[in-house]
Amino acid sequence: MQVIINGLISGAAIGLLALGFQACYLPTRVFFVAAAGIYSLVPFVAYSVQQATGSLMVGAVCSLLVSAGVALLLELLVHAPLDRRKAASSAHLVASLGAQITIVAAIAMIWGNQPKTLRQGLDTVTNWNGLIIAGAQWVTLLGSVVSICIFLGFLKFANLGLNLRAMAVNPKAFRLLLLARQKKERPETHSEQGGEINTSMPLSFERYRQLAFVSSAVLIGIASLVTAYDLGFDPHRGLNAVLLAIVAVIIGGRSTFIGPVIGGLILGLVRSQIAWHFSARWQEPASFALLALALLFLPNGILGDRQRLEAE
Amino acid sequence: MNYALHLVIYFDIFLILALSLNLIVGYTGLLSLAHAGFFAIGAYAYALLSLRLEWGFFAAAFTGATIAAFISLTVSLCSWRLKGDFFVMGSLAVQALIYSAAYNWNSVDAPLGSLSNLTNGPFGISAIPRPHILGLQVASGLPMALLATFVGAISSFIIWWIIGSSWGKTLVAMRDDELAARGLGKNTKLLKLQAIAIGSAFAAFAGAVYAAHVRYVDPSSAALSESILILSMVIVGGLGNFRGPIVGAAILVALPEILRTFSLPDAMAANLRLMLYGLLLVFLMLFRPQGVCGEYRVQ
Amino acid sequence: MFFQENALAHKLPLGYVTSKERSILMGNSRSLVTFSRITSREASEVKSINSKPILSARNLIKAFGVKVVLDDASAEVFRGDICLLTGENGAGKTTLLNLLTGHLKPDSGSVFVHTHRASTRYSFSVNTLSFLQPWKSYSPTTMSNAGIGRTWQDIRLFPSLTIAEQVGVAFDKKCSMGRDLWSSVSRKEVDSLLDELGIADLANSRGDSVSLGQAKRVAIARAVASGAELIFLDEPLAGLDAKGIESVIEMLSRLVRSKGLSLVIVEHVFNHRFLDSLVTRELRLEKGKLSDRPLSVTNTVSSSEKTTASLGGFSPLVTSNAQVAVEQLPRGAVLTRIRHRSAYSPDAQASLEINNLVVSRGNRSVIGVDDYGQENGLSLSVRPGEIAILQAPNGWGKSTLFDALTNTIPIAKGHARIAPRLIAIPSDNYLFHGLTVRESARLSASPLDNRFESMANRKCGSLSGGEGKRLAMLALKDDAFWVMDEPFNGLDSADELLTRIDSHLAAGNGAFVLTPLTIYETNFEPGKLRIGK
Repeated sequence: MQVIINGLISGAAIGLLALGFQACYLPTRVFFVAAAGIYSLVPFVAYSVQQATGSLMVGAVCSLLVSAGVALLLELLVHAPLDRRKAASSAHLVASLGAQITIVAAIAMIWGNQPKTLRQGLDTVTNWNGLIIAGAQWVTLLGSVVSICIFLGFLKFANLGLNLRAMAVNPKAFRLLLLARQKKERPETHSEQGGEINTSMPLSFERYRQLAFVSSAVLIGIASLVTAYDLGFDPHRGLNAVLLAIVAVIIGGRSTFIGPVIGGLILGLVRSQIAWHFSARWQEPASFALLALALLFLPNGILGDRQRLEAE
Repeated sequence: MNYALHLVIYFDIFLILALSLNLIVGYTGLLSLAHAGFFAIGAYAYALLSLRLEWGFFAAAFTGATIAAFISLTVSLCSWRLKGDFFVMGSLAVQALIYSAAYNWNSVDAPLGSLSNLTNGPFGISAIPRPHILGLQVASGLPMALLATFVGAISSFIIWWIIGSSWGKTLVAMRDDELAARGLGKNTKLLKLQAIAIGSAFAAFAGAVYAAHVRYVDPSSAALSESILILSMVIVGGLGNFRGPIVGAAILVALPEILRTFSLPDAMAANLRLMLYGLLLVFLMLFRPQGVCGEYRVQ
Repeated sequence: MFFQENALAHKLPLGYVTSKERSILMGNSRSLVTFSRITSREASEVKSINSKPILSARNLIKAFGVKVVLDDASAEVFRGDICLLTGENGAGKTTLLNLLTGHLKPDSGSVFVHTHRASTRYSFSVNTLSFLQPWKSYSPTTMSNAGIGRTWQDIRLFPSLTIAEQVGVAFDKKCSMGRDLWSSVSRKEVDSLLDELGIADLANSRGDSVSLGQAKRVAIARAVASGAELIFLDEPLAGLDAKGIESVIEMLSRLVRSKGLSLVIVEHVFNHRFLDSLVTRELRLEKGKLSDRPLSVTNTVSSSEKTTASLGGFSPLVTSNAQVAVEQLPRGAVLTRIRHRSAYSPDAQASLEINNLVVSRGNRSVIGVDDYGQENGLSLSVRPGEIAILQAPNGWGKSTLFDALTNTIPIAKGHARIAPRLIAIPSDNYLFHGLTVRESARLSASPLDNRFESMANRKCGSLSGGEGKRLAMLALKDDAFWVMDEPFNGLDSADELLTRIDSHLAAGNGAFVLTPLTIYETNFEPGKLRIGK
């Protein structure tokens, strides 16, 4: 039971990260490997602000702002220009990989390679009928579940969320939809109606892309903070975490937003079982073996629709 | 002098790696991140065979290449089922599995090279013997550099020959339009399998040269960052022709040397180098997606 | 039927006659006719081969979801047959072609291939255990290696290989099978084929630098080089000018004569007349069934049908208070304008204005090219109260024009301006499949009417074609300019849309519609404006 609880908690964190990856991938089709850089960066910023102000909360908020800013910058400087040039998806991937390497090298230059921790002092422990859950685990669990629920609720009920989903499902039709929303006044009617200005300026496609990147970065940032609070952090853990998230996306189904969450939970459960029965060092091979199995036998994931991976 | 020879050997190793990865990325259009895995397989195969069985260089290297070619079937399998970004992930999974095999295949009690302690885990294999050719030991320094250059030249020649052959043209046809190639009767699964197997075998050969030169291997040679380094070499130089990877290998071997002239602290220089690699990839994708002198853009 | 073919044979220039006779003889084994001119060698060839068709399909069934494309279709193609495969737009001609060349698998039925190289029977059933017989896989590779080749509507040359290399690659069967890694076709063999087919001067041009007409011929040469005995041609003439059509036809007839090739041609009705000299059989695909049709001379449409058809289904809009103007655009396209008498004013500011527009796909200009390949640009304007219907043959570039008008692809030269806001409905893929009907309507801020209430919570992906189209039409608002690509596609009845368009025009708005050209009017005088009732 303890193993399952531990698995669910770490699975929730993986699921949150996977959802963050998917929040960028589905609407923009950018394979956002640089998310790994953001994932590495966030706790360092939080750590520095915490050192300066003494408050972890301020540090967390600042670090999320920084992560959103970095994602926005990457979109504006790298992915949007690539998209305008109709670059292939692999070009986005390689560029994102390059950005990730750059960010991680910059972190290592500024803060050094040593592992750090956000938590001070010993952790409180809840003991409930023999089930032990540490305070940091509560933070991970609550932080992840609340963020996942808020984001999924945003997608489901908010207008912006609906638009993001529409963009994810059919970008081409979404462009046409935005075209239809644009109010271009006819010259002759313009003078008749006087200075009536349309107040609700519709968002452009580029704005929605930026929204996707920013929400992705915030989710990734939260996922990074809660794990860093529990387990500590160093500059190089980002890529592994994001790879794990991508595995969760593929297992769960890469055409939905809920799939990655489920994939993350499954991955968390499997990994905790492996760690329990064998050894923690077999966790990575087991995860990737699971990925290989999923790719070969369940190429659309658990929740994926019947769209084919192959050519034709 | 010795340092210059060391650079020559490194260039040879990277040259083979870049040319063989170009065969996979530039000629079949599959962005593979598993290349360092096959490099490590070659290195480990040479290390174990020369250390435990006292095999000569070429016998051990060829055996490593054969093993790598067999294991590359996993990447081929991915290439049959997956496209684009998801193939990249599949190849990454292969790379991760090879890495963790190297990292985890050890046991404190068993002797090195036995079935339960094949790789000595994170400690790696040290004191690898100098390479033997026809019973003669190749000394470090000039002889080793000559051996590396010989292997590099032969490999380059073979790859140059392959990509100019009708088989190479068929690869290009498949890369350009797989469906049309199938419609002309090409067995594209087999073509991918062949290209990936040949590329991986060459990577293993480079690994053998590396192990013979450095005389120490550990799992870090199978790490993802190695794969990314080789990939950036090919992408920087250019995909889809013969000279692109050569230029790429030269640039990425020369870059740290240029940085060295600024006499930065070691940790700083390493990070700065990585940062430059990263920025190079970003700027190339933005402004010159075909690389410095390539013909093909990643799809 | 038999008589007709006979008559046709006599009409032909002498050069074609032998192959024609041979094909008549073999194509219809039921009708045993012999011509005295046939040599004994040919006769024995006939006997040995005509017992078995080169390709025969039996009881093929293929459905995509609920849409049944083939419903128990059977056909045989004999050696020497030049079949024209006809059928309505969307009848599934290209699907049939994909099925018979291994690009798609039928749901059930069987395909029998009997060529010089292979004699294989492929059976398909719903719960087929085909993976137990990997050597008998039904794929483009195996079909091509058996001698069944094809060309594609979008040609698919290999952009980075030269023409000689493309043909050489197609030649070299062995290398891809791995037995002979280093074998290389002698350049001579390639050159002689290129020479024979009249494209030797292209040998060293890259695949992405040849013109459309040249590319089509190279694609055929490539299929021939791959050893095809039967080639399926998917719209070999589409998008070509008169000269291009002539050279493709010339090449095909030369191939038929010298290599005894069999052909199955899918081509737009508009171009059928060019194929008259070649074709020996007509296969008709209708309601999922294939049937032999007597060869008919094209353009047998009665004049009354012609006028209605020439409006592409919009003729109900032509009422007493409408004006019609027709003009001809380059490369066989027809632009028909229907103007609402009270709402239309020739002085009003144009809703859509296209000036000297040139749009390219890849590095080939598609829109704005005239009959002679000159880049003159496309110009047209649509004013309020007017609907312009652009009917163009396949390959003309309708979807390219649509994409350019909706800013999806860049414009190379000239400009297009749309005055009020633009609502565009593409010919397909206009739904948000993962969203519910209610959400989809919310996106376009259009209230759901009672027809959709019952399905408001269904996913858009589960809607039938007609339902989906009607959902997309909900987004049409009167204060916008409409651009629609094939608006009637998928609709069971056009009435609703036509009523909608009529009120849209009456309210002083404009629309631009792209549709495939169904009937080509040969007696058309370019530039003439006809005002009718």
